[in-house]
Amino acid sequence: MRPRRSDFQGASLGVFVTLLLATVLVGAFGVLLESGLRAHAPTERYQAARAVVTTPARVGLLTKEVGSKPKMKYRPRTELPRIPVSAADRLRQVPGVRAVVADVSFPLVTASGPSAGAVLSGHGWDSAALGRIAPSSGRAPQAPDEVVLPASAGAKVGQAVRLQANGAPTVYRVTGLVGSGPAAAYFAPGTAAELSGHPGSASALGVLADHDAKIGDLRAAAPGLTVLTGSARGDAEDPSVAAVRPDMIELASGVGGTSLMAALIVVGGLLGLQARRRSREYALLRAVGATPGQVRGRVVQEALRTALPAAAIGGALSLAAGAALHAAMRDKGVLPPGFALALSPLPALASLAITLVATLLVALLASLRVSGVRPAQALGETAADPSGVARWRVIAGALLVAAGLSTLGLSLKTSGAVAAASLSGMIMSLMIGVAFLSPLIARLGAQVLGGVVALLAPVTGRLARQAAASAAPRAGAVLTPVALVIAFALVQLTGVATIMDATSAQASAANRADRMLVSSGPGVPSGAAEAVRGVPGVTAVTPVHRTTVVMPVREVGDVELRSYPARGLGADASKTVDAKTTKGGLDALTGTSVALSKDVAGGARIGSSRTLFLGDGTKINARVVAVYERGLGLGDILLPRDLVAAHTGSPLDDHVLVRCSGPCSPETLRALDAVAARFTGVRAVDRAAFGEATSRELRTQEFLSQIIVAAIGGFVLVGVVTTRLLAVASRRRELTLLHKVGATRAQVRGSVRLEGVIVLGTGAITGLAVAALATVALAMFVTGTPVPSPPSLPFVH
Amino acid sequence: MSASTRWTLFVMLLTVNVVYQLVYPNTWHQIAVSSLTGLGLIGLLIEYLARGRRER
Repeated sequence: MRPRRSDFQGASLGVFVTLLLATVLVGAFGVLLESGLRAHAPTERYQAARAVVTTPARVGLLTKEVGSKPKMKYRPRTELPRIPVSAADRLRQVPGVRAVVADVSFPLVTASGPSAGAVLSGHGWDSAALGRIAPSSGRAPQAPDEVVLPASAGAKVGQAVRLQANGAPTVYRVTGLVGSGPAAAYFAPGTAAELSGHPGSASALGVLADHDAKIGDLRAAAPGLTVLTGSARGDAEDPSVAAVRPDMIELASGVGGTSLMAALIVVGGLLGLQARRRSREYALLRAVGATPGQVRGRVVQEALRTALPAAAIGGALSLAAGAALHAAMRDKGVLPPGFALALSPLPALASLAITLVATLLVALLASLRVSGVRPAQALGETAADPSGVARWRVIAGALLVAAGLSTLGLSLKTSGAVAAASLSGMIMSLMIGVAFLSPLIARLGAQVLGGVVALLAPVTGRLARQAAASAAPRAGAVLTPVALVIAFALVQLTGVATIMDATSAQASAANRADRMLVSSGPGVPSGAAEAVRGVPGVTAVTPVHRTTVVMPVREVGDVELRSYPARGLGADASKTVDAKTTKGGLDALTGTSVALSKDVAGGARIGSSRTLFLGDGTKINARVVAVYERGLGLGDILLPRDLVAAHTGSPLDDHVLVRCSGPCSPETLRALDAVAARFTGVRAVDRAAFGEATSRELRTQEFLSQIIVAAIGGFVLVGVVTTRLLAVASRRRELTLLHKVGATRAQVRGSVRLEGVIVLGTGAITGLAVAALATVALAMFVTGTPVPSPPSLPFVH
Repeated sequence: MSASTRWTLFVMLLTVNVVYQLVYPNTWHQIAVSSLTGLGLIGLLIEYLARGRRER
């Protein structure tokens, strides 16, 4: 029994397009996953080093959950570490080691010349040997006021230039120029150690050794430290790439998995519809002796015949898509500049295999009903679509909807991880409940929406209404993906928009300063805050230094290590920052203390101790001195500024908050401008001009939600179009009969179109209802008011 | 019990459950009302299932 070509052209095309898109997406995120696994920052300054010794790239904590063995959990550190220079002594004893260089690194800004404002990285000249760097003109620096610059700085040998590290610009004499290599300035070793702000410490120890020097001996000579070789040496130059690696791996797996699941829901629906349409043919096969296994095999074979070319083409295209995705993420600042693309056939092959296996499973599921039906029963069924709904479906759907709505109260009244978990649970519960109850929703839609349509178009509308009502299960199969995609898309896009708006509103409300010193370069020198204190009319000055901190938190019973953006606040924090504290106060933020937002405080009492890991991986036990509400705007963790600065790679502040006694007088503003002008790239701005840069996490979420919405929207569009075509094809006899009893062709076509409007309209309204509940709950959770922010349009800024 | 009565009761009990949670959170009477309405909802579903088995 060969099916007619027209019978499954529509379905096969829909399955082909959906699987092609799914394979492209899974493969593209597979490229990102592989890049994440293999990514290292490029090795530029350590090219000649046999190995680079630094602190471990991640911090770890031993945790134990009930019923399982203790295990280590890790998170990456994000800042350059501090290693005592004395650690190099043991390394020098290792056979084969010629020299060990203590590399220091600090940001620098050129304050004069044609490249004024350019950002360079400052180092000692001894570290130039690690990268085989030699002056292309002139000589190495020897005196404290000498420097070697890159040729791109536009200076000449013998010229006096002004360079700014962590203070006002200072004059140096250029003794040499380097023709190629990274944008780095080299000072005499003693000068570099002083400028780094941590004399006696290095950010890495570069080992120059012969090939017979054993790496194992180096490791033994550096207990507690990590020895990096090969491309991993780049992680010691720039830790930002290693820092995003675990997030990219998690993200690629999550988004790839979500896209595949959405595609399979659509493909499963199409295969199921196609199998139901041919149930009489399969029943005939059973009647003449075919076993259920043979029928199932036939269904699976037909599905794989479509899936194989789709997966092969999609796999090949996914490599280009992955490269484009990588480029787009770098442009948007979601990936750091050093995160290189790693391309190999592996993601294409993996996405091909995953798509084929998943299609096989879905086809098997779709074939279960038709292969198990009794031949006599199937042959006896009329050609009309069944209109009944199984009771188990109604009960399961009703329970899920009731459970989803019941958790609405929980998500509105709790906060943090519990609220987020209950909100996700509510959305999932409602969506699955809608899927189960879709035939009943379709019937209700046919009555209500169909009634409106019948009023507007008496003849075709009435036909459409009756057709929609009589074939509720088929209509349900069409409206379910429409409802799901509308609900999902609105919740995703609105959720990110609400969080972004709430973050900037909270950040603005938390800022009590009248003026801010900001920098267009790497940061504000710490001398600027001291200089501002002396300005008449200024009553409070708070330098702010940002970092990332790792802290163990309890999430739904389990202890997890999480990275949090944190701010180090200097003196007068309580006068310039209004964190809306519920316990304690920011005045006590000194020494080794911490203030926590209510979302991560977990009921911590004032005076209790919290373990956390600072930016360079140093573990501290901090005393909790305050709990506050504005965690979105200020970050979840506030620390003393001096503590943060001592454990970050750069001694510069991100900005300085300045408060005047009353409104700032014109003389005070002029004096502030004069202080700012003493430092290159620093200026004083008012609150309107001071916009906090959107965090990388939010930019990532916004970008990914747009991709997921576009992908799932694409799948569902293909699914809906194909299902509608199949549905019309299966009603050929019914529509012919209508025509024969007097309906004109235009009326028949019109009734089919209006039936589509009723079904799709019902799906859209259902999706909007679910989205409305979820977005209102999300807005209450994030902002405390039931008003969500409108979603930002995908790919439009 | 007819289908329309059953489902009307279902929607009413669910509405009371959700609204009471929002208006009187974390109170003893909210827990009591949620429990009673929850039991009512489950009872209606059991009745629906049992009726289906009897009709078959």
